Amino acid sequence: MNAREAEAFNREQAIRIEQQITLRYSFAAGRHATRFFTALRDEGKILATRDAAGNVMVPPRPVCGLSGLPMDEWVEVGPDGVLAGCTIVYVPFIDPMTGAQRPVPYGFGLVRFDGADTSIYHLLDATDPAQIGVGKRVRAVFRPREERTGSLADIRHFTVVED
Amino acid sequence: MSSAASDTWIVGLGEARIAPLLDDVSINELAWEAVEPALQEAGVALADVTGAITASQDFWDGRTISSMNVNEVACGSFGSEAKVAADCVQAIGYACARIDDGDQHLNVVVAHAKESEGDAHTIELAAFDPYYERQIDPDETIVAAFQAGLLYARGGASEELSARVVAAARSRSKVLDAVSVADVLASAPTATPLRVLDRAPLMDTAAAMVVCCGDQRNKLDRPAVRIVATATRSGAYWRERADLTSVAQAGEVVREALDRAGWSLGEIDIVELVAPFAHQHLMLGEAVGLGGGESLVARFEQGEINDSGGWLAGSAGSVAGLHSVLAAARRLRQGDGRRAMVCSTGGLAAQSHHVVLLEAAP
Amino acid sequence: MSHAPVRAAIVATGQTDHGRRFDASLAEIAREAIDRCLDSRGLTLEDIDAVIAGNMEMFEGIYLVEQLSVGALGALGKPLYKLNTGGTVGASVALACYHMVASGRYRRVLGVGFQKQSEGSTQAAITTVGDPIWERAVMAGAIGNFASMASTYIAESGVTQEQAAKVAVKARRNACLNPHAHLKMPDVTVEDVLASDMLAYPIHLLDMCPASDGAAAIVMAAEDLAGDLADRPAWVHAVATAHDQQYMGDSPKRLAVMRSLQAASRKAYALAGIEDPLRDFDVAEVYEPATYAELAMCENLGFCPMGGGGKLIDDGVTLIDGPLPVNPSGGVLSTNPVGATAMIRVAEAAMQVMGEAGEHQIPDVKRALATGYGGNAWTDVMILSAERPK
Repeated sequence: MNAREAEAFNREQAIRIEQQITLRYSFAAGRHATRFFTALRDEGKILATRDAAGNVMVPPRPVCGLSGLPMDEWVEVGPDGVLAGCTIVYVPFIDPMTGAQRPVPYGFGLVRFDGADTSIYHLLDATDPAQIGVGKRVRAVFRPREERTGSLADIRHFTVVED
Repeated sequence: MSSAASDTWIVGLGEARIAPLLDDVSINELAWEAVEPALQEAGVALADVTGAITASQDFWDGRTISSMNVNEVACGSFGSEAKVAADCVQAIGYACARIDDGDQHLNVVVAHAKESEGDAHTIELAAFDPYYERQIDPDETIVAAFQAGLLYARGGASEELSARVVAAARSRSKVLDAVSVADVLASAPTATPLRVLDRAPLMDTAAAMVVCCGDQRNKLDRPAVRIVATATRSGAYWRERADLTSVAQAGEVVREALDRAGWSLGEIDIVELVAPFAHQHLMLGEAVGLGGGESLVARFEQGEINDSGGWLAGSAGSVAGLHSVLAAARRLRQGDGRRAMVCSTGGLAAQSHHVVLLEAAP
Repeated sequence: MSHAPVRAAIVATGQTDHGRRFDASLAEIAREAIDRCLDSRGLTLEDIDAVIAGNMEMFEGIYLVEQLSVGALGALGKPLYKLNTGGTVGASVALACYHMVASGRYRRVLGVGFQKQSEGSTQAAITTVGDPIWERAVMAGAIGNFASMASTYIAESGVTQEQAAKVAVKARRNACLNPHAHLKMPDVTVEDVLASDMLAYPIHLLDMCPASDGAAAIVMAAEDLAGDLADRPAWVHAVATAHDQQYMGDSPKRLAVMRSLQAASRKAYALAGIEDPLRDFDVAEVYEPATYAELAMCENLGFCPMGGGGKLIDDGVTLIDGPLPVNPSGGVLSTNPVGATAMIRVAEAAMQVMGEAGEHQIPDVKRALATGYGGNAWTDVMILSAERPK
């Protein structure tokens, strides 16, 4: 069929079979993530791992891909950082943690903690979108201690701070 | 060089723990648990490894591009990784191709699965035809049950013979308790005629090896095992197979690999057959030419086949073939035989077949 | 023992009419491309020694899809490999076809990439690209990822929204010359692109690729067979693969500096004797999921200096009648069935070398570049040439 014929078929004849498959997973965070999220939850600290070549990585990990060396040392980084990338999102994506659509617009970007060589993606405070830009300094806004569970969401979002 | 045989060498082996639940480690860490010892054994650093072949299944990992879970521990950054979604024995064939054509010299082969993390029934359901089958909610055990039922009715195989295969495997297991034939036959039915103990239990595990070309092997000067030939073939989708009890492609891939190597079946000292269900071992053994019925099962019991215990002794999808390769390679290094063959399967009702032939260093 | 590769060439290609295809199932879509590929040379499935398939399973939600579709893929009783490396899988498949032939394992290998994004939840599948512990909870789809990367690229290079929009105009107009392409917009302008809905700043709707249904197939043949099968085989001169680090944020200048693309392309250039890609290539089919990505890729491929992507498109260098046409097929911006998209790049590059690109044929193509991109900057590169490798 050519494109036009296919379109007509689509409209007039095609049978569709609707299915919903619910795939549930329970992911083990592992040693490095457990230590990271424990520190995040209990102390509001950001931890990273470092190798003998001086690479400092967040998320922490057993080995550094750049050097091939084990990342044996744990160091604290942040709590502030710099925006390495950012955007204001207008598409209402579904939050995979809740299944509900995220209210738009919201901020999303790449945060490089002071002292780290890598960045992580997280949500950005978009109360004043004009403030958000690459190179701006940001700070993690934590949820209250009693609401933290040991996950990325323990940080509500990052907000731009003055230098 | 001859296009038939391969010049790929295994110079390091590594295994992670094998357990029903390893929730102290992420997949990344679990893979490193296997890769790190393999690198140490080979005497190479991760930075020396320029590429990797990884084996895993997206649905089991709950992740599109499941190999992203392991890419940094498999070959470091900017390495040349290729990922095969099948049992690792098939992936080994691809690893050899990239070494034989000169593209790669030193690679890691790593397979992983954390079968504890997903819901097996739903994952397996996703392998079924969305138009004609899913609505009746099947899974791999149900299809295997059809197969076993037909096999036992055909004659030459029986629940008891399958149970003996399980008992033989468990007696050799390092992670699962031994069970008797009576235990197997008394275990709860899953889908008749199959019972719980007829199937390899779900596990979390990973395994790895370091492979290289002949020149690298000479430089590394480690105990090494040669991969001489590989072959792979797919049968029909289960519902379209004329005879669900036949795995003729297993025989074909073995013949093809033996041709490539210039060997005969009788020259193989070590045999490992890799499949998730006990009755499938009987089918494979027969198709490959290792006998049938009582005499075939006796070979399992004596350890002539599956000295390692195979998948039934504890492994996971994608990894099982590699576990058998590692076991065979260790025996070859120890001088416990000169030539080994590992046959593995994939898909519903053992649809696809892969084989690798190994040889001890001269 | 020498490891000289058998020389290999792409001798046939086939594609579906990409788009929203409710008239065909996933297996039928794959078979449509395969049939067109084989029919173009009068080949049958008996002529094929092995099949390599690529599809990202989470999109349609079919596990072991190649086993289900084994008949449609023509792989019954044959070696059948399944790869899934993300957006780049089609190119990974093409590379696997190459290695299977170059190693002497098989002599005629069929490679096929296929996907029907209309059949599943694209968003859900893309969300699973994110690491479940570190990334998934905040993911804003491919759009959010590209928008954030674009902001980094803009900050580094000063590229403008207008320059990015020019890429969209080029792509959708080129697509009008490609009978297989999904989105064709003959009259689209820069103003149209800038006026289209803002998805995530600075990415407008028309800056992003569509989600398509489609498939593409190639036959890779050993050197002694290639000449019999095609008048002008597309010889493989180099292949290379590189992935980046473990997590999405590990490469902080992502898109501005595409480390894995640089690594893979430089390795491939060295193997193929490419010294100046702008001069040495006659056409390039690159994997650009967004307009900004194409400009950044041109920089990171060495078509222009770093930071020069905006000037490159302003100067018209990559237009279909420019010195180095990029994506005369319309590119990913016009057609994106994920499992097939990178295979389409390879197939289009091969078609250019073989002189079979019809209305979007670039004259006198000797060397063509094809790239794949996926996941965390996973990159595949293939260089094709009308000349047999030495």
